[in-house]
Amino acid sequence: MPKSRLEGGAALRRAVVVALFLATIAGGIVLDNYWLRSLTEVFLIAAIAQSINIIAGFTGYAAFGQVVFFGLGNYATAIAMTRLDMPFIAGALLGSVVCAGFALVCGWPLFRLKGHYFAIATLGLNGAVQAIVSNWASLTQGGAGISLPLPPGNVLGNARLFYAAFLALMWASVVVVWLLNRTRFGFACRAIRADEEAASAAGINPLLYKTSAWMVSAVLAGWVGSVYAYWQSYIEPSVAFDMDIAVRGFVILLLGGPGSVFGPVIAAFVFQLTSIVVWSYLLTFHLGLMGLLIMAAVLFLPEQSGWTNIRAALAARASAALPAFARR
Amino acid sequence: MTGHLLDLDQVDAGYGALRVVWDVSIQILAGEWVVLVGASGAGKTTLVRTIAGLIWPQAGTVRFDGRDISRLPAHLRVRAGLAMIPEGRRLFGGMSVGDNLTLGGFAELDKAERARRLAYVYELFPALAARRRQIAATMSGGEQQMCAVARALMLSPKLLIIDELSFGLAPSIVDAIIEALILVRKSGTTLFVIDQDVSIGVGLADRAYVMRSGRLVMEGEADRVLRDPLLHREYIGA
Repeated sequence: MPKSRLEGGAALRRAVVVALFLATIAGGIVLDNYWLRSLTEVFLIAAIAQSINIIAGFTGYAAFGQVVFFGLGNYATAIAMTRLDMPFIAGALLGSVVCAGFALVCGWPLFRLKGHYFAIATLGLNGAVQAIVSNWASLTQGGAGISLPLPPGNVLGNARLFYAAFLALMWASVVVVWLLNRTRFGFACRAIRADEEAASAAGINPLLYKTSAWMVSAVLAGWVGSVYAYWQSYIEPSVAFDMDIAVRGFVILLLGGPGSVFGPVIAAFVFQLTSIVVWSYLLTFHLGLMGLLIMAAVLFLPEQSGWTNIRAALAARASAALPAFARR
Repeated sequence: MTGHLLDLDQVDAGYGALRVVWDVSIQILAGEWVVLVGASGAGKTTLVRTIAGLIWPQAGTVRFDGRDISRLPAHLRVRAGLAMIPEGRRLFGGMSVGDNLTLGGFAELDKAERARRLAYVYELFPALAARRRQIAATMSGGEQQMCAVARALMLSPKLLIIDELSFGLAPSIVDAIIEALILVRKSGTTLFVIDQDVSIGVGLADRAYVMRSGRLVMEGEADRVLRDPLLHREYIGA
């Protein structure tokens, strides 16, 4: 993108981000229980979308089954807190180790696949882990689920606590993606997304960077799962590995622009708040209307977001074709 | 074997059960300019992909700089000093020219060295310096080929392999790139240029190989091989 076009937008974007940051903090103090909960869900799905952004948006690998790490975070934390009597933070750290380790072990075989095959394989991964968790009753209590210790404090206090926790996770995810956008590591990921063979011809080890990116995104999704388990104080396989979370994360990523730093956060607000409004006024038809909105967004919105890269490439192909054509 | 920068010994290559390249032996000395010509479908690109490590030889060995690299992954060959510009250039189309060149130097960790190389390639291709902010895919084919050569030179390679240097480019652009390659070679880089155009190395290259149907059919001093009427009549076709 030419720099001149960016400068005006960058100042505006910085202002929006600062305003959003302050507003989200103020919200934690003034809002009632209902809105605290609604916004907590916005932060949750924004962090999931950013987790998907790292592997799908930056590195170009559409990990549709990303919710598997959310689920592993849920279960690692629940098992640590109930069976091992560990405090929450220790459980969440255990979740990070499990998620990073799982991404490392699965990345080695799965990253030999490309495009749709990789996406489908991650889908299968989530299904397989959900099946294992459902059937390994001696460890996970199977379909009966696990009840976690209740967090201390009253209802409003807890609502504020988890509002703050997910808010912190969302901003942490923004910082991770922001760093990724500026570092050598992120540069390598974007090169892999652009052309993996050319990236390795430039001395980049694709498997190393793909796997590392997936580990980072897995840890992020795992933390969201850990906090979610403590927040809900009850988890079961069908909720922890619910594909709806991954689908919503992907839709938000597409709305916000894959590879963009703040787009997914803003898209999470737009998507979730629209969903709440539609749901409260159109109880019978809200799913249908949300579906239509998603389709409309995918059809018409991409032009403003991270898809500019792809558009530039398409425009380029058209113009690059011209001289060749003219010569013949 | 000693003294050869690149040494292919009886290499067979292909894809799965399909064998495309048969029994190819090529030796390139450090500092040489070698061309490989052949018609479309002769197996040139498959051979280049084998040398670059994008596929592995089905038989035979590939040695580079005295070391067997037959099973070395592509990115490690690059770090050993073997750079390849693939057919069709494969630029990072959505990125700027400057970003493409910076990525070319990815393997070099020393920032000052990267800056020095960047200055060198901009000097070699002033047209790119003027377009450093432009999205690579929006340039003409010739400018893109310059960018691909420059990106490979960011690695400061010992051996530069260019697959289909002239394909689809205007003769004046090819001349400009050849001018730059003459300088590159003077600076000590060994060149291995693969093309369908037999005129590509005349008067410049040291030696030439001719490939047909997956096998080497002629080799020798470049000007003699490339001007041989037999080459034009039998192997390249009118």
